[in-house]
Amino acid sequence: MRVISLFLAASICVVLGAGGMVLGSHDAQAQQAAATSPTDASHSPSSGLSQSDIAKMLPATDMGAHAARANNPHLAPVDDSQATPFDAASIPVNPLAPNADAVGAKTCVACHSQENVQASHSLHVGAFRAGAANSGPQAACESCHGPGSEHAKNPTAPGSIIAFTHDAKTSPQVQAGVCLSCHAGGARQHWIGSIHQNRGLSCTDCHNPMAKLSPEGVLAKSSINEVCATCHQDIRAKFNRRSHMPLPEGQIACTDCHNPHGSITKPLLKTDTVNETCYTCHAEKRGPFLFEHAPVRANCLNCHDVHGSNQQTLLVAPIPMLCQQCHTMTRHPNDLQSAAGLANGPHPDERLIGRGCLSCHSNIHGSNNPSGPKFHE
Amino acid sequence: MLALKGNRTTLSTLALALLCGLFGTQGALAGDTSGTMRVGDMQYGNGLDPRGWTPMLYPADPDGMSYLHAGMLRTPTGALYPYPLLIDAGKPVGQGDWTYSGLLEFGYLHVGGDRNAEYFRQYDDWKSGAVLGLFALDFNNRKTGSYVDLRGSRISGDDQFYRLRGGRYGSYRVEGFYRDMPHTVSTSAYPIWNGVGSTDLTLPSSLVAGASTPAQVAAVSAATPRRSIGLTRTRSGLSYEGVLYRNWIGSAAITNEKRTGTRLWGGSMFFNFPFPDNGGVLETVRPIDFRTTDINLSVRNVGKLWHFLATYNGSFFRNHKDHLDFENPFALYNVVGTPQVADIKDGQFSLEPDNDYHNIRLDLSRELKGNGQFTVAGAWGTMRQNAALLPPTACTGTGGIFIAPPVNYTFQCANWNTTAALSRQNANARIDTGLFDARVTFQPAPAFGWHAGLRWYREDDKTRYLAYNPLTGQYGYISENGSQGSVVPGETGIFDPTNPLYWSSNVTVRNNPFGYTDSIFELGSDWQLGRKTSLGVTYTYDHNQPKYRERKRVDDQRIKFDWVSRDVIGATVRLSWEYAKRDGDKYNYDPYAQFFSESLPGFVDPATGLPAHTVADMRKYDLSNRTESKARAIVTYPWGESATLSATFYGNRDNYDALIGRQTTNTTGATVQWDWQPTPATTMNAYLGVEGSRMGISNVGDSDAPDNGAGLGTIGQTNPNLGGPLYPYANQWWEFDRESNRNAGLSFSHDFGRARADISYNYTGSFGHVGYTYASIGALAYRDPAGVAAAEAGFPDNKYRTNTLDLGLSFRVNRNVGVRLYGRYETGAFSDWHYAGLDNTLSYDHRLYTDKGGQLHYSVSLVGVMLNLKL
Amino acid sequence: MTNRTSLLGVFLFGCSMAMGCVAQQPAADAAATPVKLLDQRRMQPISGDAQAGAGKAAVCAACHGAQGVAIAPTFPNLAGQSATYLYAQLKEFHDGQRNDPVMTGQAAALSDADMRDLASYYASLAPKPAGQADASSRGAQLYLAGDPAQGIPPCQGCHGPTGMGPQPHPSSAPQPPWATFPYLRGQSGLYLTKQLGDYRSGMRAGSSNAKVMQGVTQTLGDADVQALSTYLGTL
Repeated sequence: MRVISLFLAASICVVLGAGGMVLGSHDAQAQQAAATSPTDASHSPSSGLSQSDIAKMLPATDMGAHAARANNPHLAPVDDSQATPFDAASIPVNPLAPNADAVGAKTCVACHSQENVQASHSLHVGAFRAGAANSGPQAACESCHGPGSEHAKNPTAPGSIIAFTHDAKTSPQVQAGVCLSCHAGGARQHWIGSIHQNRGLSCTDCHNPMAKLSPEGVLAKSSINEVCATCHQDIRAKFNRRSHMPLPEGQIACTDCHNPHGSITKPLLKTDTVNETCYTCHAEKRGPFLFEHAPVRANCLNCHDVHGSNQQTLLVAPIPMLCQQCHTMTRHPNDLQSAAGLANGPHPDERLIGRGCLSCHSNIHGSNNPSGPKFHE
Repeated sequence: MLALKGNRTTLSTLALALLCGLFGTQGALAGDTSGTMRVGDMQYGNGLDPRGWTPMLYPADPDGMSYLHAGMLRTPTGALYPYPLLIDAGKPVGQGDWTYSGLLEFGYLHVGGDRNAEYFRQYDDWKSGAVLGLFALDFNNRKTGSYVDLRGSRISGDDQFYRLRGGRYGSYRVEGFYRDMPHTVSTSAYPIWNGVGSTDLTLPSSLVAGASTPAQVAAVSAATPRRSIGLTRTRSGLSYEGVLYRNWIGSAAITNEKRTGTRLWGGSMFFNFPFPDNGGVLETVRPIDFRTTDINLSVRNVGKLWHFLATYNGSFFRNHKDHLDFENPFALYNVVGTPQVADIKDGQFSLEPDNDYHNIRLDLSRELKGNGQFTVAGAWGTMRQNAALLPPTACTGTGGIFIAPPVNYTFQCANWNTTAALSRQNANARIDTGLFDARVTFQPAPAFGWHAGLRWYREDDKTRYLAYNPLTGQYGYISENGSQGSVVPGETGIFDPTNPLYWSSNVTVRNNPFGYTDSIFELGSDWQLGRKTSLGVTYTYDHNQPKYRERKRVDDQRIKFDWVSRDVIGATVRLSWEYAKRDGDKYNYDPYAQFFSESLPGFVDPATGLPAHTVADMRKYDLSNRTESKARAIVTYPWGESATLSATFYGNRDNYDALIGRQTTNTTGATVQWDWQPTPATTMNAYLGVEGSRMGISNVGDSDAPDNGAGLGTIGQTNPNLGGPLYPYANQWWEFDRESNRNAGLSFSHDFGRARADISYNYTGSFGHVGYTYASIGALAYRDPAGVAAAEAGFPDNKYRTNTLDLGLSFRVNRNVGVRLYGRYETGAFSDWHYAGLDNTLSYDHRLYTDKGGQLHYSVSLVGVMLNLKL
Repeated sequence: MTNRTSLLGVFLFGCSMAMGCVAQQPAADAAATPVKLLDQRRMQPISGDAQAGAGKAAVCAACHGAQGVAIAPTFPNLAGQSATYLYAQLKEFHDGQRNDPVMTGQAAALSDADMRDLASYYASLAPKPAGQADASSRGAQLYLAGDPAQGIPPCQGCHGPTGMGPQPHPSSAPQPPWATFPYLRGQSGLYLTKQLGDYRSGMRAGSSNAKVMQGVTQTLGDADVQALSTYLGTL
């Protein structure tokens, strides 16, 4: 199965699609929300706003959005509208301030103007604002932070708003619950019970939707690897060893193999087993081969240290010591190779020099040759 | 106020809030990437810019994140968020709602010094010449939420990436990418063959295959020019993710990888060490020409009660160079019997066969009454390969040894060098896997929760192959390209129940279809001790049933404690400690008889009995009884307003209950890191890491010579026990590998206004010592006085050290143009006793090596000038 | 090889410097007008010698009154005001972030110690006694609860429930410079109206606090400004 011109076809498709999107922008203007009615001069309390109140607010707020929609026959029903699903985002309950009311994004931005500048260019809030500007009331700041009336009156009261940072009184479980109300499922299907959840991590330990700190993934640092290295410094240091996969060179990330949001395969792997994760990039080792090597088929980690090693090709021990942990058959595997066998020693020995055992047993991951039971061919 | 009153009610609503959040979705769909469900391609960067977008990170917004407070807030654990960058609002595209912003950074890079240093080039294709630092173009439509992003960077034709993404927020996303990633394996390789990189390695005209002397080969090797061994991975892919219908989100991705190049390989023409001027051990070079196509499909529906996820992963591997033929220069001779009848000179490898992989998985979660969640997952997978098999040998003429009639150990190559000699033409290999996983989580009380899980996984190898030659009616194979049986009589690898010469020959005749069934049961609970502290305990019982291995049942029980506190004098501390104990049923040191000719009818036990397969006291370390304890601490301390101090401490101790085999593994280490960001213009970071590890094994030399017990060849060779005639105590030895690693680094970046300076220094140092002790010199491979003296001197130490200094100076010429000067100076030292002496010669009697190993010292510098244009 | 590189590097370096010099000219011209923003986010509460300040306040009494209560509603009352706020204002007048025909000249003559002493002195004076404000008025509603419909945040969040400054809960998070927020109770209504207008129009934008107030005042209409000033003036 050859996929020769895949890239060519793909790039043509995507470029045409992108071009279509850019050139077809005149359609967007036709989608603008039309609803405005003369300003209502009533000073209603923070709940029970009329549609016109909401409509004239920029950026938009959500206060009783569902009720307003249900009562207004002129608005398209949420499910069938062309608007993005952000229109249906609701305001979470803040267990530490159950009596708070929503105040709307405009109120928030009045004091937090610089935060607004940063946030509106982050993927998360930007996406909210951009796609959601088309039809009716939408949620904004309060769809994550909960209703803000208590916080507006007394900003430092602990727990008055759902906060996601170090000094927040909001518990990590409530914080994660807010994010998961939209982002559940998919890669986060197994968050509950995962080790990061179990250790009390909140989504904002790794993500920060308030500013554009990373090109994608809405991360808390400027790249995936830096986020993971915040806590897993020892693993990151291992990648600097002589034999390593190209993580320091920026070509792979921790999340190429691991799913930090939780998974059913220890340790947080994306596939059913360790080996299947390795085979995704090293498909040649998948086989199955005619003659298998037991430790290879059981678990790649029997011989390799994936995060970095001081031996060649990510091995956990130098050859021949690695092989001599299991092989003590008669004749040549079980002699103690000493400095006498080095190339510059008195008795250069093929079992020690260079690739050692692998100079003859080269097909060590398994052989598909009828003469390969001992991996010579 | 609210907090005190709310404490009790708060905790009871915690889990409720979480679960409500989880299941109370009002159909709000999030356009998050399914990239986190696929393996690979999540990071696009290169050696010049590991992040992949660093030029866009500057300058930082001098106003910071808020007018209300200075500095940046911290993550719940305590790490500081970095200062955000100065927003580029973008310029409008024509009259519509689209805006664009972009950046182009390109320039010239010059490499000086030891530019061919192996560890400098390991994953970067540094070249003097033009480089594209970053080309980034972002289009956004504020009204519709549509966007198009383009990123690209190029160091050379073998080291570049480009990625195009487009879509609409919350609706769909399309992505296409193309990338080349280089991997240099060796820069000091001297292969004597012609045709390196192809499937045919032929000797140069000055050497005659199978008839050259070591002196001739050494001369050719010394005159061979240097070349590099390495490969390039070229990946391209296309993916789509979007809302299919209402709450259904689907994704589809196809990725293709082409991997081409060479790697170091081997070639066996029997031992040289027991037979001077005989045998052949060749370090050849194999071709790499792989194509892998991956298809990933998923569909999910996140509803109020149920979360549903179905995934299909398919991977199709094709090897365009799936065999390697090589010519052997050395002349072989038979140690007994004259005349020489065999002419063994051609070697052959079967490289990896084409394979197909499919995996379908279903994940389902449901909320339960009483703050609970139930998750179940099931997967079915299969790996298949049905490549055409090569004939058992490539030799021609006669192989083997003719001693004297009737002792005729010869064989006709014509009976073995065609596919007619095979019991079947194709491999017909297949492994099926099945997975079932169920978990349940409950939070019955505010401060207490428990969870349980059950996982069952089976891997079933359905490959069945019998090595039988229908042409001759014999079983077995031709070992080591025919050389083994042509040097030593009777060791060709053939079993023949009708021939007295071969009917006691114990050779592999069947493949071993390793597989296993693994069941894991887990039970755990968590307690909330106060608002900031929690304690958890988890018990895991791993019941593994390997097939066709030394044990039928391996049980691993593990208990793990974890303690998390968010306020230990202001720091967040996470501690965990686990203890595991593995045992199982009786260890059978030789379960493999069924795969050897000894199990076939007509096998005749030799008079001295068969030598024991291995020493009965050997315990293979993935099955042996073992106790393990691991401890880990991660500490994050917010230091003042603009600094963070974090540290990790960890240690593992494994003890294997084995007289022979792996006995202990220890690792201990610590890291400490200090991050400082006083203003948006300045960041500084310093770190230190140390780790020490030790692995100890024991083995025993068999008594295969007159001077170390002389057990082999006598009736005592059937005794598998340590201390018996074949494996005497006097021949026991112990070896350990002790490694010590140090890492340190310092980086500093400051924006002076018109210019920005950044400097970074990194040090990695590893030191390894392999030491050994032996009960007597009977354990040694070489027991003559010179050998013993060298053994007593011990191995030289291994080391690997790199120092890297990066300096950068960026000038802002005007609002849209900048210049960046960049320099890197890297030095390294490397020493590994595997390569000791190869610098002088690669030829040692009948051994021929290709790779001299990494450079002992290198120093290399990069200087670059880049022009930075804001688009 | 290296010669070529260094030559190229020097050439590019020289080019960029030349271009930089050229580019700098128009920038320098433009730089004459805007004054550096006073970043108050890290400002610590000040301390000064109130006694010494008393001695230096003779000139100030001409407009701001002998007891810190202004002689005319166009001038602000200083009695009992936050010392750090007063100090910051004097500094802004001195450095040019805030412009007033009278105050700029007055502050020009003051040294840093003078400013601290004066600020401490006025802070130590007894504030104007509390009045009877209409708790059901629009101004009260705005001050205490804001108006979510207009996007107006409640002023009490930063200025305190009684207009006598905020009472923040202790926290390890980076805190706003609470001490720099002014007390509003009993402040001259006319003065408040002018200041709110100045914030809204961008006339008064020289400090990080002013940036915050700028965002807040964008939400206020003229009627709202009037209502708030009335309420606070009678508080």
